Amino acid sequence: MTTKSIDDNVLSQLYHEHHSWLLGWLDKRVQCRLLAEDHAQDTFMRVITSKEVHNIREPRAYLTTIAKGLLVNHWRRSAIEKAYLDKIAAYPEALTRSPEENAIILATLQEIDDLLNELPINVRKAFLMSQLDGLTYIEIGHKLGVSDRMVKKYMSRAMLHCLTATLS
Amino acid sequence: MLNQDRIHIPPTVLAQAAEWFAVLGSDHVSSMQTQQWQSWLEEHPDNRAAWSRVEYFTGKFQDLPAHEASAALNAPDLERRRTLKVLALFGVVGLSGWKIKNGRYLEGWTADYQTALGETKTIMLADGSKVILDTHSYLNVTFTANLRQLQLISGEIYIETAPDNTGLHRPFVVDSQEGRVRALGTRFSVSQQQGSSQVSVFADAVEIIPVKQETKKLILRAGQSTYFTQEQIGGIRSMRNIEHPAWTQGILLADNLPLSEFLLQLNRYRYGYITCDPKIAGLRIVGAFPLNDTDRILASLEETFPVKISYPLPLWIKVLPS
Repeated sequence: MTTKSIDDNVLSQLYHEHHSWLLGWLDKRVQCRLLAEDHAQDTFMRVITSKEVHNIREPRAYLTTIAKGLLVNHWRRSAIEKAYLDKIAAYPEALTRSPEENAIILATLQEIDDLLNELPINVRKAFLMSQLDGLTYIEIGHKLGVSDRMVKKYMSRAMLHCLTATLS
Repeated sequence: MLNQDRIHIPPTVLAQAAEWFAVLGSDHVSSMQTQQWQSWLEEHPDNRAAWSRVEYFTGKFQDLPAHEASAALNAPDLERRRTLKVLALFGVVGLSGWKIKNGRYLEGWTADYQTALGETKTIMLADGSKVILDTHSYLNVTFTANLRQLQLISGEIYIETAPDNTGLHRPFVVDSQEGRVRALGTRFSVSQQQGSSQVSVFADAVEIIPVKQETKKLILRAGQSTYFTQEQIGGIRSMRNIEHPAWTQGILLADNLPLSEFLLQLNRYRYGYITCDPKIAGLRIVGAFPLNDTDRILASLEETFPVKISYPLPLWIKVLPS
């Protein structure tokens, strides 16, 4: 009870002192007020759920760090969406897909990206080449400039990452 | 059900499952290996549970349209954007390690100058040079004792250089992801595209140096335009008599442009995505369209051509035959 109310106080102080500053910071970067407001709200949500409120020594640095993470996520999502829609535009047969189907595919792509995002770039690439492009380990090895044994290690690492990331 | 599976699988079993996944995906799988995998599966229910998780992931990929998924997940922007995410996460974990070094090359949104979609902006540099940023462009500017350097992260810029006012005669360069464009005169534009840079010269000349083939330099002169990659420089095209890129005057200029290409250009100035039905992609567009009202441009297409415009999703515009 008491701990909670202390948290609430700290939180509401944090909010009052820094919310509009954060909003300005975000607005400058996304150049869209609505989006900036969303991100600012999300940032504070993260602060609340992180339960770190009273450990924060430099609030603005802390808030911007979280906000940057959110922005990067947002941009990754937009980049995927854009690349996907660009590709659709180039493939006439894809135009026949319904909006729902497209939405499901996009959601899956973003889920996969979230999952693979933290892997080293070569591991991610190898995994995608094998699973999406159907390349053999030798072909992947050629493209990445590594041996097919290394590709096999990449594959195992990527899969282990998927298996464990979803467990935590 | 799935949750139960999740909780009870020991990490060593997951590691084994991942290893088997890698083995069975190899170019040559022996029948011995297949048998060993079979007996591993039957050894323990955990092993089966772990394997069903593996199949869950591989199944996700099988349901995707390979071409589009591959393009989306390999979008070039993703590589640039991951570095910062890792840094940002690191910042959250280490509460004391706040000083995040934003490499100037990492991100558009840390850029010195930027424009929103549909916006253009004119900036005057310290040496008196003028730079105009086209829609959705990101630019860093670094002046040192021996170089005037612009770094174009994305988008397009038009430049009118001024003689160096410090009396230093520092070279004026624009760096893109593909290489360096060195000003040998006054007026030119550089555009960062996916995997290539486009250069157009409106007065005097520039020198192009691809980043991986520095010996393959090329001098591009007034009225010429070309593109280059990290390794090579494309063919030279001559432009009609123009003094500036049309966009610096707020105009989208179409000189016998296929509709599909025209829509791609237009899309650079507005949110959302415009797609074009292949049946009408080849329609030729001629005209000068004011960019301050892109809705109006779309409407005028409908008036002038046998096309109709539909909106299947918010922010998604489809141009179809009427």
